[in-house]
Amino acid sequence: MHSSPTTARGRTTRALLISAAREVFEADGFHDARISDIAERAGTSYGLFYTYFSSKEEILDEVLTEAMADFVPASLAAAGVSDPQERIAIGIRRYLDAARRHARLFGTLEELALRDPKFRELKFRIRAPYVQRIEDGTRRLQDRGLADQDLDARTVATMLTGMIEHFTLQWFVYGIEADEDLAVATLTRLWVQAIRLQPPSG
Amino acid sequence: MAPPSTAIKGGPTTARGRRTRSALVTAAREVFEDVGFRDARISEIATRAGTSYGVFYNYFTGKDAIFDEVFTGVMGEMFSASQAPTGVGDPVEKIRASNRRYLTVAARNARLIAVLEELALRDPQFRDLKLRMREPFLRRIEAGIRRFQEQGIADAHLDPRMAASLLGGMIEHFSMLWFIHDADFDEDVAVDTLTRLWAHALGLQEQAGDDRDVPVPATG
Repeated sequence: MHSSPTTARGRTTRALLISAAREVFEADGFHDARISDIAERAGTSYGLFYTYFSSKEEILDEVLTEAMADFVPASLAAAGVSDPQERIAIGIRRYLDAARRHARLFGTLEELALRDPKFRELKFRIRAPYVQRIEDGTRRLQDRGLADQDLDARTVATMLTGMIEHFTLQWFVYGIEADEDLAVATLTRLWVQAIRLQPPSG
Repeated sequence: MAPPSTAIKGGPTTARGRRTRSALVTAAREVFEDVGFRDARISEIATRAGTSYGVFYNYFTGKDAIFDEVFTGVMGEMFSASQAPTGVGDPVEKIRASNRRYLTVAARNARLIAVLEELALRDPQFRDLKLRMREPFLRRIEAGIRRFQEQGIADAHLDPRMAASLLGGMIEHFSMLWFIHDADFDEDVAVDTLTRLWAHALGLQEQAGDDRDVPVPATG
């Protein structure tokens, strides 16, 4: 792992490389992506790429980490919304928005992970913080007596995030048709009922 | 009409022909599991089946055709193996039994499913195959939800098709995490959680309270 650049110019070059890499991965997939293409698209050189990243794997990791940041709002409680059901609905809508923007990229990761254990590890690491936040949120609801306390929060988080992840893959990558409002409404209802969410008292 | 000997895709009419065909399908499955689709070679399939490259083409038009055949067989097996048992009246127990059966049979076939998944992500032809394979499962879940709704025991506000797709997706996704990506899960916790999530999500009313101990149905 290379250390982060210390100059403003270095940071700019690094950021340009990341966004160029993203475009190249989306267009060509990972295996066919060439570092020279990434460097060229970022307006820099093959040699300079290696000043910032040691490999194509490393920059993929970076691209995915950046994309995952877009999912953070989906797993955090919406500001100013106290009704847990409403929070879940907003979270689902935000997730779908982020997933739509990054569908190609995550389709590529999925393909890599299905073939290669190294990328499997990456896939897990990339989605772990998201699943963790869902687990924590579920546990908080359980602690407050607002969700079914007999459910194992970790397994629930894996399964419910899997439900939405699977759906977005079908929708945005495979291109199956789905009505967005119906999807959001059904996802929300299934999620809320699955954990037996209670309306807050008072 | 072409005579049987030149009918490429017609089923073989002799016992020996049927044996060869079935040996080819079994061999193809092994080769696909080992090396994936793209790197699978017909000569390797033929050798493993104890026959020759030329004979392969008496039975199949190519790699696509035998892949389709392997898959149709696997999905048929998964479909019947994950059927809810007859004679179980309680809807939640039905769901529990078929979830457990699905996970058992998915574990057996995970490697091959992963091969198709990977192809489907890139290639529309395989995506269509994947969606076609999924369809009977979805229709069965959808019909089950509709039946529960008609009996007045499940949430009538849910769209059965969408709910089937989402809940089916949940178990499909989970089984891939578990069997392909080697995530560590306890089978009993997995089956129990899946079942509770499904039952709650559908608004199923359990008949004798939620927390009783339920006998785990015997599975194969």
